[in-house]
Amino acid sequence: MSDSTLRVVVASERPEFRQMLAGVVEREPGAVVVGQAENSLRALALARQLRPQVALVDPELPYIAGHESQRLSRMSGLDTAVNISHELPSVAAVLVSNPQPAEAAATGPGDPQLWVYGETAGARMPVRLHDLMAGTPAARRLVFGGIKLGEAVVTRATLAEVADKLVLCGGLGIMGGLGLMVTLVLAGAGIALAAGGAATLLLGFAGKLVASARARAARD
Amino acid sequence: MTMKNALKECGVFCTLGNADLDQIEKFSSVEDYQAGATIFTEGTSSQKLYVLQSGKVALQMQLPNQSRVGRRVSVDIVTRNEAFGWSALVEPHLYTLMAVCLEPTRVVAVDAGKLRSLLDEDKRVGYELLKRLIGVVASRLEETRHVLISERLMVV
Repeated sequence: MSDSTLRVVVASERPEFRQMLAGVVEREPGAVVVGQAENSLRALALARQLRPQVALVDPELPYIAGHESQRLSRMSGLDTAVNISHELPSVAAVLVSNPQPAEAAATGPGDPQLWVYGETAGARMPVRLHDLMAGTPAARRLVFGGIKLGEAVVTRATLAEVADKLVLCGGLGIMGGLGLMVTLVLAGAGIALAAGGAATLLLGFAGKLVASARARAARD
Repeated sequence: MTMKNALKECGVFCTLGNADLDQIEKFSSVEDYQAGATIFTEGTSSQKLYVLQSGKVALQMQLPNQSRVGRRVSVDIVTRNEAFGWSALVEPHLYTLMAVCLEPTRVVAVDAGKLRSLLDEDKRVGYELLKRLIGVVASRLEETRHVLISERLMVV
């Protein structure tokens, strides 16, 4: 890992959201996930230990580890982001809202795009992780943002799905064709066998006729 | 959505009649906040009771000293149609928590002084509203207890 690599810690209890956050990092050249945390305590420990430049934090982070089905207080995301940014001022802590279920359903499982709230009320600005490092540490301490599922990548995902289906259909076609060819070869052999059988049968009948004619001539 | 409708969808105000809500609407206003903005801080005079229309608000408690868990701890997250800033109706009318917006947030802010006057003047409205408020507070307390027990069981 070079010195210029942007080191990122991601924190969410939900594995699928951690994966989504890690996906944002992996798609950006020069950025790498150095640690993943599933609760607030772990996120703080990783930030202290690994000294990342960016921490992407789920607002619904539980304070301690537990199972998803347990009734934990899942509200430590803000506390975690605030604590990281206060304790480690060089870290840009981003509180990343999960896409709404309706939004996720509308766009499908596409490549996630990180955005932050702009100056204008409610404006969402797409952002690169490296952009978060611009400005003074005080200016980048705590940022509020979210994830948008990109439509362009949804198209790519659809193409990939279509390609998979084409491969499957092609394979089935080859299998079916081979079966038909075997059937045709066997059919040819069957015709020859039937023809031979018919010739043999005719020969047998002819032989029987000749034999009965000779027997009748001998009696006369 | 009008302020009256927003109040009607809130558990604290939902049983009040149209005439009562019309009165409350007169001393209410819509306020918008950016993500990260603070709506109120603990220890300040609680002049407004809020109903969240959109967005999300974290209620945080200041810790006396810097501790292992940090300077502030979120104790609740307010979501759509929920009321917060209840200190506005309870003496000594000082906010006990800090409210921070996690997303761009729109609230209906009810003037607490005028609301308290209305509740004093009209005992029926006062009884109905406080009854609902106690119900909401009780259910939040119940949830907090479950979480407390659940987390304590995990630590053992």
